[in-house]
Amino acid sequence: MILSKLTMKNFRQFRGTQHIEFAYDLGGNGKNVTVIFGENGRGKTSIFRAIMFCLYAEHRLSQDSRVDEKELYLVNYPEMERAACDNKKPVDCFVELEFSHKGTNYTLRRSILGMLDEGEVIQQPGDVLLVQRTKDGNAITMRNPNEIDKIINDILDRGIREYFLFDGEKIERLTRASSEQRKEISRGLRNLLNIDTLETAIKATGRLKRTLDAELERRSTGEFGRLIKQLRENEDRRTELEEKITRLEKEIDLAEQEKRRVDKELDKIREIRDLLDARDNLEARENDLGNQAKSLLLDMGTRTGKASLLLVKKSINRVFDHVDQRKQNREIPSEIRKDLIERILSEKKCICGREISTESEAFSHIIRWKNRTTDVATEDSMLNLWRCLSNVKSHFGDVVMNIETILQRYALVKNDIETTRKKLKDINNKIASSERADAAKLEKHRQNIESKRIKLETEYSKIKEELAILKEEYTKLSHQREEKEREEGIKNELSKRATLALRTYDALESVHNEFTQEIKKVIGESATGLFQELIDKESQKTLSQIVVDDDYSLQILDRGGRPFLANISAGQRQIMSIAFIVALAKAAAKGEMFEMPLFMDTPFGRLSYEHRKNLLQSIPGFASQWILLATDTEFRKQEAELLKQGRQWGKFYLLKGQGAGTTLINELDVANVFTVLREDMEG
Amino acid sequence: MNMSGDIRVKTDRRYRILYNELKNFVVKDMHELFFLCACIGYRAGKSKPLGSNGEGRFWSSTITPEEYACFYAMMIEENDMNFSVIREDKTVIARMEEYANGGMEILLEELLSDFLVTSGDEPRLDHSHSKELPKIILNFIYEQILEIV
Repeated sequence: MILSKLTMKNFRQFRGTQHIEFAYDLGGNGKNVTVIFGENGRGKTSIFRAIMFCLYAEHRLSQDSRVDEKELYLVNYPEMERAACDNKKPVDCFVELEFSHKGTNYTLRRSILGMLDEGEVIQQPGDVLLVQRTKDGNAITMRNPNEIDKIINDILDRGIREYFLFDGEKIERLTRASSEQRKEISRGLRNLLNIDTLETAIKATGRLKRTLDAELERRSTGEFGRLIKQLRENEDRRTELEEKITRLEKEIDLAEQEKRRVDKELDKIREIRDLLDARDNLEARENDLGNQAKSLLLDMGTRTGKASLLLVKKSINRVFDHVDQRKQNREIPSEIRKDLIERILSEKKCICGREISTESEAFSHIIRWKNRTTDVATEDSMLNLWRCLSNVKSHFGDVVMNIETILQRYALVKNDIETTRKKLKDINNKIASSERADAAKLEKHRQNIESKRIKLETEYSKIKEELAILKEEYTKLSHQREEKEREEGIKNELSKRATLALRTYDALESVHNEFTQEIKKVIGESATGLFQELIDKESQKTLSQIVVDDDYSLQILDRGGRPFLANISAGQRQIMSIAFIVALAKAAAKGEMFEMPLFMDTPFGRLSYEHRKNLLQSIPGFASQWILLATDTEFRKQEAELLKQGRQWGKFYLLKGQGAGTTLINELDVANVFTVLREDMEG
Repeated sequence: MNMSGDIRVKTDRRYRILYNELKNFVVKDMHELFFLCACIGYRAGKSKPLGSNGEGRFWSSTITPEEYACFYAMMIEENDMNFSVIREDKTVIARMEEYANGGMEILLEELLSDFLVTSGDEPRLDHSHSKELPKIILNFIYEQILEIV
């Protein structure tokens, strides 16, 4: 998807009809960056909102959670006031987005009507229209909202839209995704990477395999029959559990939806809004601390191996000291090799040729000498081991300190979690005992949903574990079955077909596993490369690698390979998310430029100058289109100069206040923007 | 003392699932769990031959030089500073397998018993209760170190 033009009529602050043409690599001009610049309150987020409204009919952004639906006006307020005085007709408001995707041009227009009725704003959804123009010039017009939603979702899946269209505050939250968000993202990603097609093929082969196995079980006897039966039982149980998992996922989703609905209802009760705000903060804190604890536990798992050597510290010291003492006594390395002394003793002849009698004092000396020396191989072993143990010993102090630090940090986080939970309980009780009976009732209901959700999640994890065990057992039984087949020479037609189906199924599963592992590896490696380019030099010293976990959530490892996500700053999280998004886009585009805009609303707020500089220099090359919404404090002459140097900056729009509730969009030539930008000493 | 990488390291077949479950959770890899168990077993003076229960679990190529050095040190110490006992890595590993087997029994008795579910002969982790196991094991090591100090 490449955005070409946005037209808004009476949308939010944008009174009348106004438009923005986005820079994109038209005719290979290389200009793919658009900057939309404005002070706070001038309507940058409204532009972001306009795009989300047009594409997905969304009225609310995540940041609007505390705003009453009725207080959120999409239709321009001064225009509604004027209409209320003049003709009493509803104000027509629309957003029209022109974009192209895979060679097809689209124009999507979504309308909403608004009017003031005795001081109250009434908004009503209007029509939606999509015109699709193919390369050969044919145009198809669609008006069915469901049909249009499906097309838009196929172009940019709702589940991953926030990876490409995001605001600065939100992007950092990609690295703090809740389990629900992660599931949604995972679904979107699987569609994007076409893994679902392979999964359908696996299911179909699985069904065929089961039919053939059932027939084989009916006809088989003895040990082979028993194995076939066990395999079938294992599969039946897995199917049963997988169905349970699907049901549980739905129930969890429903519980979460119900919780959100109750939260919306509670939001309407003004008396408890402060408590709700506090609860939101505490829940976010609890979630954050939970992630920190999880990260620390993961970190501990990476330290146990090294820590174990402390258990045999005494033995290490004893052996080391023993060799060390012998070294100090100059017994090793021996001045003369033991085999030479042994030869002298057996030949009773010195190296100078003098005979040595067994009764002589010299002979006794040589015997004593021999007893002190060690054979070459043992001596080499001793010296090698001395070096290795010396290395091991040098880590003792660090290892102990690391263990102490991590255990202390974990104890502190656990303590914080307890305190947060206690505070949450108090707030919940306050809400539940609110003077407003409806609030108390809703809160009680919310608590019930929450306990139900926790129970469902626990059951979900248990089933997942049982499934993993069953899968392992299945592999073992499959091998036994193949062995038995070989041993007993079972070669009938049915058995051959069943074996073929089994092998096909196993091969497809293995391809699926390898592909997903590979994709995760590729995305992780690519994100790491980009991250290293974007992050400041100081952070490069600590942070080494971005890893995509099984559920497509993100983790970052430090130089020692330990999970470090819980410890990085908001700015670093932001850079990490951007690196991940670009890596994801690259993976989806299979090495070519991925046709998707990066639409960033005020992303620089938390970033240092070095990070800003890296982003401004790198993103235009990474993304096929970059639309940057920026304030005067984050986009100054310094930043503009950096962006200009890259020669990919094509458009600049200035959002200018024009009286109450009205903003005008003015296009300025990129060469002339410096007159409106601030100069700062920072950087 | 070659730090050979071609030895198939064995553990008791009854701990197959446990080794798999503890890998990537309490430790990063099999060899680390084996090392932990061997150190626990050696420290407590508890070794237990695998007998016919031995089952190849991982290749010795994954054992780190530091771990190998500790295995050699344990072997030498228990043989009254006789360094010739580390000449054959196979012998060293075989002895460590016995200590790891004994160490796993201690782990099961002292630490893991509350986190297991019984299913046939093979103990398995009860994941719903074992979230904090990495911390419990690290803490166990730490307490043992304090005793040393």
